Amino acid sequence: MVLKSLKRYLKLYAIFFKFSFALFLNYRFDLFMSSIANLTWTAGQLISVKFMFETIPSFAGWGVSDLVLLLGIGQVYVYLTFSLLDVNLDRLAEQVISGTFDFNLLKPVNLWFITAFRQIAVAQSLSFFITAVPMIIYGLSLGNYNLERLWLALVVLSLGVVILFLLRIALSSLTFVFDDITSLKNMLFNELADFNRVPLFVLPRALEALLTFVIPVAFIAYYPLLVIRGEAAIIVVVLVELVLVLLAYALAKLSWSYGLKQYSGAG
Amino acid sequence: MEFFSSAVMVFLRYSILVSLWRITAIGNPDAERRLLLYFALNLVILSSYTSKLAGNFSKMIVSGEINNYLLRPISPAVVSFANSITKIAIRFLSPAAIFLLAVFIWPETFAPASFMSLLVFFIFFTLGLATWNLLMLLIGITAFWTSTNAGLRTVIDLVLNFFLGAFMPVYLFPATVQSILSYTPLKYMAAFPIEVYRGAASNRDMVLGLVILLVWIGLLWVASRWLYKLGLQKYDANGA
Repeated sequence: MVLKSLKRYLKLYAIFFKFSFALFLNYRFDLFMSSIANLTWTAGQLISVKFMFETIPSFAGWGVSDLVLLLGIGQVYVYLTFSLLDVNLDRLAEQVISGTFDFNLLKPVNLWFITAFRQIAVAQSLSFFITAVPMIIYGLSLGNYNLERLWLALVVLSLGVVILFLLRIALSSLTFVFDDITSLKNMLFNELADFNRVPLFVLPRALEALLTFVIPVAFIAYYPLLVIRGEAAIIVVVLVELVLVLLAYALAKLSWSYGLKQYSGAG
Repeated sequence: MEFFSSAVMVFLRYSILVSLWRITAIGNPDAERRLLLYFALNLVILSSYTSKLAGNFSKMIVSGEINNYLLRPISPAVVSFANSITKIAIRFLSPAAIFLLAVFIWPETFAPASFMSLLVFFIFFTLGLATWNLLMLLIGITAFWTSTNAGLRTVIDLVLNFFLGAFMPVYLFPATVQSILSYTPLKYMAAFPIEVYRGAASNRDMVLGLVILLVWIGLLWVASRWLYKLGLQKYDANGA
């Protein structure tokens, strides 16, 4: 049953991808410019790290490779959000106001799925392959890491992405109550997610706790890197993440149901 | 709400930058104070450097709205700037308010070295703003040739912000890079005014900085007028 349902949703997602790809072909120049912009940003970050290590011999025991890897892993979440979520959830307010959200309600599919994954920003997802992936490979090549731990790091990262996805859904449901939550979203998910560039141990304890348990961006770069470095108890990290997944799911479910009750078809 | 979230975002950005670079100043209170002031003032200055003017000007060209100004004794560049001034003011307000608060709470770190330093800082800041907007105008004018330049704007914005020291203190750049930057207006648009503010710039450097900025403003002014005329020759009334 689950397998059948999964197959159906994968098939649907393939159709969404085909549609998004056709749309993207009409804006090929966007791909070129967004790739250049993302490459420039990545180069800027790498150069900053290089310059930093010309001033200091080590970053509290961390080397160039660690900071490069931290940036690279952090970029995975950034591009996943850009290409899969933002393009859809940012439109939710417009759909709710205009009343076109009704079309989602009428579809015989999961409402979160159709709301959050209908379109894919193909240009941004390609940037993932030309910036995040090379940066991770470069970081790994600079240091002396146990590559077998990469899989464990991937598990930690994936669970982190799921938690943040559920929290995004919970936040998006506020759209049904308030017209514009863009600045709140930017504050909670874009600006706070930027902390994934910073090793958490340099932050004050309160901020570290906030980024681990409230808006847990720590699980999208910092903890995966600790796992790769062999400095985190993987069982504890995964257990904490599982608890957070459950809490985030409950929050998303509750706020979404509440939000939907406030929605009237007229917008 | 907009002001509040913008203030929180500025604070978060500041925290990230300071957390990351503080490690270069550990054990040296002077260096730490310098870093704290650098990023605070840098955020205030850069918040007023937006690419809104370039966007507005491009929009005018592409939509054909520029036609309305061709026969009037008013420059479309001035209109674009006026249209973007509200956005600039909103962006500038929250970091400036936070900075002012910091000046009152921690004067030993955030207050200017003297009234004269503050005055010269404002002169550099104003000239920096003029330079930035002329650069944005140049980018906006490219819309005569390219129907969309949003990507170009993002790339240039990123590159300029990097060299303006948005991601790392310019004084930590390698000496060669700093030396190259001293011939460009970029050094005098953010990093140098901060040095002036903290009273660490010599009179000779200030005069040199002013001359370099003024020369660049002149060059950018001439270039933007020339490019605008060139663009108009290519432009037809239906839009570019």
